[in-house]
Amino acid sequence: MSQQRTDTTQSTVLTAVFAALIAALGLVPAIAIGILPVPITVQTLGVMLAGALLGPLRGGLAATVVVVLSIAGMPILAGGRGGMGVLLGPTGGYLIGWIPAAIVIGLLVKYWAIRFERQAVRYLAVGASVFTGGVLVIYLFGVPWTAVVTGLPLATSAIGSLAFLPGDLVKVVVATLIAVNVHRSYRRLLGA
Amino acid sequence: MSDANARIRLSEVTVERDGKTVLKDIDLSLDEHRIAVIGLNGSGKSTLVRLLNALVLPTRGTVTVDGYPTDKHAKKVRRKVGFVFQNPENQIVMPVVSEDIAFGLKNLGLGRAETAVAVEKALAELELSHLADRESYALSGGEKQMVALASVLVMEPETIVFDEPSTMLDLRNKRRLQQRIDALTQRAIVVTHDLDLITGYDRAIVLHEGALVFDGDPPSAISFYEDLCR
Amino acid sequence: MIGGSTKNGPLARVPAGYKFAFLFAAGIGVYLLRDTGAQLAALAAALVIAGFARVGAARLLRAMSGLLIIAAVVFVTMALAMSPSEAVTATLRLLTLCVLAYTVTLTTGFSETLDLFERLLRPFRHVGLNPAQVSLALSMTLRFIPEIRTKYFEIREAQHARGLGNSPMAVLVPLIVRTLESASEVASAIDARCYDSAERGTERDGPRRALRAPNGSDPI
Repeated sequence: MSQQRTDTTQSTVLTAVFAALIAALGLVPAIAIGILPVPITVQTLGVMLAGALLGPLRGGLAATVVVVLSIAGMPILAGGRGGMGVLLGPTGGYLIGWIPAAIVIGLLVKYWAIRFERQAVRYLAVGASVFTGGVLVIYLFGVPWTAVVTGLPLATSAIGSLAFLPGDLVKVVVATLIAVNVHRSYRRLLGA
Repeated sequence: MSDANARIRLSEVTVERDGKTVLKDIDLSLDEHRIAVIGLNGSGKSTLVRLLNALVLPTRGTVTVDGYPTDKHAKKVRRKVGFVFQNPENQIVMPVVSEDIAFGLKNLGLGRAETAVAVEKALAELELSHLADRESYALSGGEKQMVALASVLVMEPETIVFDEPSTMLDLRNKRRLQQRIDALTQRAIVVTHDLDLITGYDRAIVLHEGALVFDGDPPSAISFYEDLCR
Repeated sequence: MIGGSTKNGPLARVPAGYKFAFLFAAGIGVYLLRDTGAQLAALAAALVIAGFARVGAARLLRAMSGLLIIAAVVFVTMALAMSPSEAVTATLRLLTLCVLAYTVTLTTGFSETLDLFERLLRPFRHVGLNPAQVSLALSMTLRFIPEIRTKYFEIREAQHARGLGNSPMAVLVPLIVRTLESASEVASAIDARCYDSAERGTERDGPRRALRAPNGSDPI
């Protein structure tokens, strides 16, 4: 009974520390990644990890906490941005998209990808999950949002978003490697 | 036996975790004003003191505080037994010092005005009033440990458990903390590796591989422990 | 980071709920304006509101600097892809909304905004979202952002010393492992201070319980 209580508190704590992790990754300078000359911000990487490591509920809540705090005016988005202006601005959809992204990644990883026994298959499945949520879902929110806010045609907005694709793919790979490795040492993280 | 009235009582307590026995058949009554718990790393010290406020529940046996079994009365027991953790960074959960001190009081259901008064008093008692509006992360290690102590004291527990409280502190802060502990009117149960800290205590307990191997006055406990380490 | 957000000026006294409701309405409103003249008038009105609220041109410009670049990109792209007049309309609309949004942010206390969110979240407790836990998570996040940031730099320095500083894996895996390890200790510390997240009714603490904030009994 009391153990149960600790587990609930622990879920709250995990939600908070991962939200803090996502936010903290926005404050650190972008990491330059080996093969690519372009430095990428690592904040979406934090969103991917929250979903892949904590599952849909806690991961989704961690992303929600970051979105709520940034809308409330905390300068926790990459480059010290924050406030309602970000939400109503052209990139607001990419921010809102973090919430469904973490949820989708969490669902796919928890109930599908992590259950594969063979390492290679597990890596691929986790990678596919992270790509689906962390790229497809985020773009699904971001692209139309930009089009609506700016009045640009949907196609132009979509083509524009492709500029972020190489960086996002690198983040998918990194998030996948980290998630599979961390799950190996913390088997009970997803509460399976 | 008069043990039935002892404030904190462990009877035939065994704790197992992941199939391993962490503590085995512990029988204890804790009633002295200053009690030290010593032993090697992994001897079960932390688990023992976590039993006292329901952070760990016994696998077998019972732990009671003032007659309340910890497994059924966690909240009541936690009001009576406060806990100061080894790393204050993990204990401070609110972004601003005064909010953190208030956290426990809010959990007890105190109103806003009552809470504010108690927070101010607790900070003043430890000479921390100047830190009230500071952000928690910006405190020094010594300040963090004192804030953690204030956050426990404000809840007015009858017993305070310290789990290796001086590990992260420099010599000066260690002495300051030691003085604070000595000055407490509450009962203190202190887990420590600092043997010189406990010489004036009323009682010392030595744990080894999950078993209680010595229970008596601190000087004898220390020499027993030193033999054990040989 | 949390300090320095003391808000003043006439708009600071308006309840956050009204300001956000107005922002929401304005957000829809500017899309209904088709005419360039009307858009210009809306932007002028937004600037008047910002001036009235004594936001300060410098602060507003600093907050919007990144956005001005995006606005310029939007303007050029639109002018090339569509027509110059449509580019003007879209850019004006964007600027109007952002001036209003930043005015609201800059005149609304952070904790006031959080209170508003917590109130808005209250109906969700019926689907298992406990407001007390949500507010704890929000506060704890603020508490741990600088802590995790410090840890990140510590680990990066250590890995640099080993020649691994540029590998995100070498930095992030230890960061996450350390974060997870501290999480269980933090949870214990919260429980030790009588935080009652899960159960209601297992224990009665007398009339004081009645003073508690509204508290659902379901876990997040």
